[in-house]
Amino acid sequence: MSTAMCWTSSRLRVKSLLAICWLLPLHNLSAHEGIASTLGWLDQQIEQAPELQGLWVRRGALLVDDGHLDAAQADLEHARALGEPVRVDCEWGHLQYQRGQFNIAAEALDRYLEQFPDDTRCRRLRAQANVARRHNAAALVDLRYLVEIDTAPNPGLFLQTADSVLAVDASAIEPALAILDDGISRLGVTPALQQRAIALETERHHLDAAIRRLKTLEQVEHRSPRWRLQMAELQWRYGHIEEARTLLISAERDINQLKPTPARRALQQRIAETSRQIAAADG
Amino acid sequence: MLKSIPLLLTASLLSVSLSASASSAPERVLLQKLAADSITIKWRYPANETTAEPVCVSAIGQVQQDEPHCAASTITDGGHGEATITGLRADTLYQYQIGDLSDPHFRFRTPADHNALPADGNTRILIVGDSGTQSEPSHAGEAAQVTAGYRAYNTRLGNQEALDLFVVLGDTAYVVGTDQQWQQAFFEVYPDILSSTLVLPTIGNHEMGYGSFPCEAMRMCGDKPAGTLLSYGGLSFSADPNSYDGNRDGRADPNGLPYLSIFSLPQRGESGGVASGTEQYYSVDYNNVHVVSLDSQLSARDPAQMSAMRDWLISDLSANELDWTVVIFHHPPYSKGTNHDSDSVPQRGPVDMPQKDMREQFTPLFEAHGVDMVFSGHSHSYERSYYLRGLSVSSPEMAPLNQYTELDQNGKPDAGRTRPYSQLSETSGGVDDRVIYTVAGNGGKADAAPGPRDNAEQWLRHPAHVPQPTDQLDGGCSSDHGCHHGLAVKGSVVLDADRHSLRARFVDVNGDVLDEFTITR
Repeated sequence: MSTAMCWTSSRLRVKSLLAICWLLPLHNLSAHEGIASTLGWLDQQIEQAPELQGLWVRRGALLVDDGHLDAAQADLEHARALGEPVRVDCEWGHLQYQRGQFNIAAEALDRYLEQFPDDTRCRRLRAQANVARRHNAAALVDLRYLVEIDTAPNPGLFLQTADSVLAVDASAIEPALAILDDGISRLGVTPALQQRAIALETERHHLDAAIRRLKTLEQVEHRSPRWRLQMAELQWRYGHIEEARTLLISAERDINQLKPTPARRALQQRIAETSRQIAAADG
Repeated sequence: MLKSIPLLLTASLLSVSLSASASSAPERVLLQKLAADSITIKWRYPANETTAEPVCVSAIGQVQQDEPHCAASTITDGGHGEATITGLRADTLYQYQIGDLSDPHFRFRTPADHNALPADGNTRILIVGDSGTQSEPSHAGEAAQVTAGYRAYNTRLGNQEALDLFVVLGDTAYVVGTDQQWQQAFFEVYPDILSSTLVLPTIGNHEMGYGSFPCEAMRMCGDKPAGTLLSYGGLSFSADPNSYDGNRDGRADPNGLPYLSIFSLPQRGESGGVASGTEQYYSVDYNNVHVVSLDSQLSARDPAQMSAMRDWLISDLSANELDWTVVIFHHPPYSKGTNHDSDSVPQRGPVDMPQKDMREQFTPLFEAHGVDMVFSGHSHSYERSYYLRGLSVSSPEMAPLNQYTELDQNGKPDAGRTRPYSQLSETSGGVDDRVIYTVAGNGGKADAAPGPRDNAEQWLRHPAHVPQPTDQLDGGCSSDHGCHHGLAVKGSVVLDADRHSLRARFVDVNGDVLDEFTITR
């Protein structure tokens, strides 16, 4: 087994320029052997060049990823003495985060990011550490920064940021909705974001707004029986009983025509239960 | 049959009989977001010669009198020309022209309307995993062998069935998925398929860049300055596509992940599925088949992203009413492949962590929402499961296998060879809650032996996978007893979907069918 090895000057940002690739029969570098072989390779390199701080940091980072926290700590402490201590601080922060030492983690990541503010991975780690120690305002600063600079953000980033807004101030539903709406504006109407917004609108009893938002998912979710049930539940709560009944009847009729699955069975039960509740409430 | 587009396996398709305004032929042509009424066509000329040219699409055959549908194009990420043409007819054969560039082989068939069958009654899907080995000199030519095997198989059947979908299961451009590696391992291996068939990809670990080390650590700087980095690929644990290190300098590439530049995937529900909001995962309705592509490489590594992907999947599958549902992602939830044992993920660290996460977080959703088949790669072998329900633990933690599988007439786990599986089997309680999981990471190379850290006795013997009587390892086996539960040979999976059956075959490089299974409805 062999692995392609390539190098290029770290000063070059243009792909393929001055890139030199060749094959080395380095069995222990096979990516498919996972992290352990990489650690084995790093062991050899550290043996050959124990003075290089970067190797100790790299091995420490992999050991953190692999859950060997004591070994990682030993490597990172050793690395700190071999060069600028701040270069160890991102991985040190990650290690402390994994240990549950969130204050120490955040402090280390602060030091690192002061010197290397463009490192988005460490910024994400700091956001996680600050969330964990409930310094939600600080976490929110990093998450907002990541949302801002990411040209193709994942929906999950908007959800996490909105959650952080609410963690800072549980009543800050409007700013949280603004984050979600920013995501919808940039990524398109997607259930992951709009459903969270609907939950927030419902929580603050803005049922008309929740209904308006759910209507934007009507075509997205193909007016599925699940969508109709949810709309029926909202309409009922909003006092539109006839609309709710009509939706439930339609959802029940259509779901009975579809291939039965466990999820559809559960949906049928919910439809039946909601219909019963509406009938009971209606006297 | 008009639908037939002969599968040509020469690389000359894009270089013949062209009257292009550009000085050379395009180095890549790709069909994307092919729907009943629209298509996106992408192309690129070498040496940044791509210009924004109009693209025209004309129906051929019975509706030839229709006016051509034309659209302007733009230059998009990666220097691709890209045009979206709308107003097309369902289940119709079209030819297309890029600027002045025309060629008889630039043609495609639109899918039928929602959940309808195409005119020939069948949807043919070719699936290859870990196929991107043409960019690895030690495996050059092997991906083409796999396609040749499919061609041989199809020839034996009289070439009666045209390809509708081409599915790639990740690790499609070794070693790290640079644009150049995509060119070599993908566009130059499958030019005929890509210019005539919709391709549906998913992200593998070898699409996600390098890890880097200083050259002085390896005594290999030569005349390069200290700090020059030596790098290798496949071990990125990042959840962020923006962290892609494609120029091997240890920093994020400003151009981002090439996968996302090359493909234009339906993040807003353009192809019939529910909008995901990201190209990292998406779904497609094609005839009566719903295909979901999940992102087990990036999104599965971050709790918030994974939660968003799960929520989307539930919405998508809840809205899906098509006859058949197929899910693809790179990391197999059940595998005893070389170096990728799904049982020893905790010991092997984050490279394989998605195997465990997909098994625990997603297989219950597949069962709850009527998914029929799941295809993954990562392990360079072929493994295929029983018709499973409720298995979200590692194999040492499993209850007796009978509790998870459909049983045959003798009360043993049914391997599906003497009769098809049924979506609503006698023992399912009247619901569709079982799934077949296939590992097919052998589309460009096959591992012939366990890795140094694998348990050799367990290699290719995951209890959730069926024994393979065509196993030729150790001199072969005469019955299911003693056979490996997988095949250490290269090949592809051919899937045929009609109204009543979803039929899968594993086809080797000789065109021989080594495994076959069917679900009926």
